[in-house]
Amino acid sequence: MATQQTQVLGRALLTPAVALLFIWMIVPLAMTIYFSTLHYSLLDSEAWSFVGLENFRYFLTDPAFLTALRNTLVLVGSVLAITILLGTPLALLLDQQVVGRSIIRLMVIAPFFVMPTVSALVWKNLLMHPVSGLFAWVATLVGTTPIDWFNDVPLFSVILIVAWQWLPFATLILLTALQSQDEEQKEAAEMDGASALSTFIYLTLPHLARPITVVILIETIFLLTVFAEIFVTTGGGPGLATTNIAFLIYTQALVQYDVGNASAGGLVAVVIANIVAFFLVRIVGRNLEA
Amino acid sequence: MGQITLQGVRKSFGPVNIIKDANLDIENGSFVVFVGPSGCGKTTLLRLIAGLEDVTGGQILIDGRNVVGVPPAKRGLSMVFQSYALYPHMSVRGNIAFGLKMAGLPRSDIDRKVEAAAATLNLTPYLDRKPRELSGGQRQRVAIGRAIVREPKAFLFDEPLSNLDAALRVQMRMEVAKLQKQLATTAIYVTHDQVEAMTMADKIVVLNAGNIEQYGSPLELYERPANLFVAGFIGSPKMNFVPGEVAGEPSVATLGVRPEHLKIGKEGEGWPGTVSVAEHLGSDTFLYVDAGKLGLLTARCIGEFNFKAGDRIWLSPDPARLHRFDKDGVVIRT
Amino acid sequence: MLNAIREVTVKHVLSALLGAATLLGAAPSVAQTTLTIATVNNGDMIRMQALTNDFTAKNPDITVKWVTLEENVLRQRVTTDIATKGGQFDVLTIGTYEVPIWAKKNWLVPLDNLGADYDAADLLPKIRDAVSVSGKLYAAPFYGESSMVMYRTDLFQKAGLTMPENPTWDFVIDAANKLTDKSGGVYGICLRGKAGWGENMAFLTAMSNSFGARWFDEKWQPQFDKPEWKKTLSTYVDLMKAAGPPGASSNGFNENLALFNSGKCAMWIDATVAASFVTNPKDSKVADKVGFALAPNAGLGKNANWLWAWNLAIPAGSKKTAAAEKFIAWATSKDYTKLVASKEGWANVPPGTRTSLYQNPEYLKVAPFAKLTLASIDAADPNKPSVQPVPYVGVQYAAIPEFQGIGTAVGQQFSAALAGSSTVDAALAAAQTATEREMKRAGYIK
Ligand SMILES: Nc1ncnc2c1ncn2[C@@H]1O[C@H](COP(=O)(O)OP(=O)(O)OP(=O)(O)O)[C@@H](O)[C@H]1O
Ligand SMILES: [Mg+2]
Repeated sequence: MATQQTQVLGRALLTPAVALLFIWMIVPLAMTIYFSTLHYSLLDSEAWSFVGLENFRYFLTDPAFLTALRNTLVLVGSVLAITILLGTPLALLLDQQVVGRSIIRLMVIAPFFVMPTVSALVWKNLLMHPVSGLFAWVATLVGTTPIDWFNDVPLFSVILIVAWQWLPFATLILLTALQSQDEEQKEAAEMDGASALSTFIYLTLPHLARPITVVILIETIFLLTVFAEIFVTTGGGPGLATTNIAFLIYTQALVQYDVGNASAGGLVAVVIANIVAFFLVRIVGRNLEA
Repeated sequence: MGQITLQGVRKSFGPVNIIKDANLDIENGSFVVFVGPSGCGKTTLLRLIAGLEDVTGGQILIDGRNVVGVPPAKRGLSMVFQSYALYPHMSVRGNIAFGLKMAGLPRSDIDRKVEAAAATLNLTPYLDRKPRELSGGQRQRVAIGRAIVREPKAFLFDEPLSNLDAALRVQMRMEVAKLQKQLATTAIYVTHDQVEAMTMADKIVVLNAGNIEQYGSPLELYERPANLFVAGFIGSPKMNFVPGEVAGEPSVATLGVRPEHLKIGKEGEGWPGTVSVAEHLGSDTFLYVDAGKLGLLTARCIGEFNFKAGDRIWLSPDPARLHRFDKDGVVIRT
Repeated sequence: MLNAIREVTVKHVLSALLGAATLLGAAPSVAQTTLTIATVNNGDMIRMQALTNDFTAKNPDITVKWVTLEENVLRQRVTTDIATKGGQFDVLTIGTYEVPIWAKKNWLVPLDNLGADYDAADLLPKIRDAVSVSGKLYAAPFYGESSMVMYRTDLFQKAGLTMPENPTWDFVIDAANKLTDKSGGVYGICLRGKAGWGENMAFLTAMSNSFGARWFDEKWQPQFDKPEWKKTLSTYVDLMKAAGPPGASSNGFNENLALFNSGKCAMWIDATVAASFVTNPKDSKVADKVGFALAPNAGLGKNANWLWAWNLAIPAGSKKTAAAEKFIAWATSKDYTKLVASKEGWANVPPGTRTSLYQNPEYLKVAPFAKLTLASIDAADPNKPSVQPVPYVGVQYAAIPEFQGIGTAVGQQFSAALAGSSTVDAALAAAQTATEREMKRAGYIK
């Protein structure tokens, strides 16, 4: 698009900013890599030594690692699926002209502004608690045994809470995308005899491909590090049922200020995040944009 | 078949009446153009016919059947939008085929028809491209292809050429007109460009503020405008209007004469005035003349005339081509 | 953690703000020392902030700056600051878990100069032990607690049971089973189940002490493969399965408090500070039907109760040691207790640190649970937590840096046993492996 001259000029002007940004990114990363090769704990800061890849070995051979990895992927995948599968119809609904739309919108968006710890506490104690929770009360009203959420389906319970928090985000992004959809295209499809469903499949969905990718990417970044919800509700238990990589890093290293091990765990998490994001985006890209 | 009749069609958005009592009879196979100034309701009227808007009152008949309440797809019309409204994620082939696919035609039929339409419109080499990889004119042709492939009863065009440059517009104008004649399908074409209207139309509908001012062939409108509005709207440069009293016809409120019907007379003959601007186009000369009480007159003279600003001249109107209007602006026929 | 999260009411916040305003108003005249104090956002601490002007009035050359944080954040900020010698704070609020660890690293200044009228001998001996290393005081306790049995006198009476002052596990188990009425929504016993070193592990470690178990032997070898732990965990799991509420594996202090207050638990073993909540008619439906007893024992001479205190300490390297000591002496003095009593009533004084408080008739009048709180604190020995010898100090924890991580991991295993997703044996085996792994890495064992 741009001419060669403007390109050269543009690059020259951008260089300082990019360099700064690069340094800003690379220094912490380099330090993390450096720390990950040390036996170094804040609580034992005198005794630090170079241990090579020992921290990685220790973290990766942790008996909880595979379970935590699996839980992480299940958590991320399920929350993504729920938020997108529910977020899309919700966005479609909010895009309609209905009375009280702005209030409904506000209500839909609200959960996003609740602190994770708070929403986890509310869900755990007020909604899901098998004795004093609202769900249990409803269950006893209709005469069934209340579900013991965090005991019987702990990971699913955490997924529900996290999905509830992220649903507004997905809905909002998708709604914005819907509103940018060309009205005349939809009318053209209407003239072409497309039903509402066909219009959705052939026009709206492809139009949403990019925002969905954005939702997936952004959510993945945050969902890989879900911690507060787990810490508050289950403390990673029962057993390892709700331990994800972030929580494992916490028990393995953070809680005891083990800088070396935490850095190694953090780097492993970064690698996992990249792999996950790479695959997700490819899958989505292929299915929707084709 | 494609005969479209409007009977007392009205449309209002909330308290605002946009279309007020439109009555129209469009014959099968004819090319009808809606013209009028911006905001007069052309698009609205077209969309009412298409079924994209619901009428507030009146009837729309297609081939004698009242289609009020019938969904757009069931009216058997196709529309070409001003923005083309191509499906951005589909190839040209997909775009053209979409309507047929929705109608549930078998694959082989669809392919055949799409190829035929593409051939007609010189789109064959581009069939597998996405809309964003096409030029403006090509996109326009895809939009037309999408419309013709369904073999509708009528085409509805909403300013389809307004996004094209002047040269391309002239070319596409001819192509569209040719195609319409070739297919012999009724076409309704919205534009605010009166040259487009005059050159393409079998019949023109002049709209103003939601009213149909006149419906007739281009020449009819040119030669016998029904009122001041049509007289002023059709023809370029605009018709000159002079107050009847000043021009010596006190019984007439306004006297109209087209620039091409003003001749340069000998000294003392006709209306005197001073040339304020002279535009030399080679084939014609446009003179903008300050005629005192008569106001500013425009004269169009065939050939080259060596006038310049400040020259004093006399203009004499062709008496057979004078248009007379009463105080309501309605033409006075004698 | 162990300390109950006390409600920070609007009133407290307001009075804190008022206190701060008075501070701002007092224009410094002499050379000023500014103390930066890191503290936890519980009710007692907020109250202390509001009363700061009493201290600054007595010490016009000192101004006080508060940094009030949520417990986990406080622990993290303070630890990071002291470990990296950040020097942000002059007075730290730390738990009994940190005191011995940090004192051994010489991160804390020994509190030798708290003044003549500080009366260190008045500190409850077990609490003093918990904040002392080799006989030297490294932190001044501000507020202390243990754990005990809270039970429903009405239910016990109805069932014809009498709670002894020092019950055995056998009695508690038997009573819990008898009092359980699941269809009526009453559960014999509510205990912590949520995984975490300060959650279920605080309770279970204290419980294990009463069964003669220990975390490590003298050579730091983890002991989860020993019968005492098996006895502890299987007793706990069996008891909870038979008489505990649903969802126990994610219940912590707050969940159990809510259950007990709404009348769903016949017994609850938890922090002594809960006693003032469950007897407060504003929050509790059963306020007038609560009795107290020592945490149970198994006849081995140890009860299943813990010991915890929030303390004020001075980080090594502080240049304002003298002023900080003055402040600490003020905040943990008998006079401070009196000051709170005069302003807010005896029910609101920080409990659990001084013998004199438990001899004060005015306090005993408003705190019917005082006697058992004192008895509970006396029954816990941080230096000799278990029947068997141990290489660590701490009742419901082992005061080593690695404990928080190990405790959390083991807590997860034990919550699985409670949830039924793992067996007692499998949970103990997993706990043993995880602990051995970490202890090897940390170099305690080979
Ligand atoms: N959905 C609507 N709600 C309210 N008013 C509308 C709506 N659509 C059109 N209008 C109004 O109706 C009038 C006619 O609009 P229309 O689009 O038909 O004009 P047009 O003749 O096509 O003009 P143009 O040549 O600029 O395209 C305008 O005044 C417009 O503001
Ligand atoms: Mg228009």
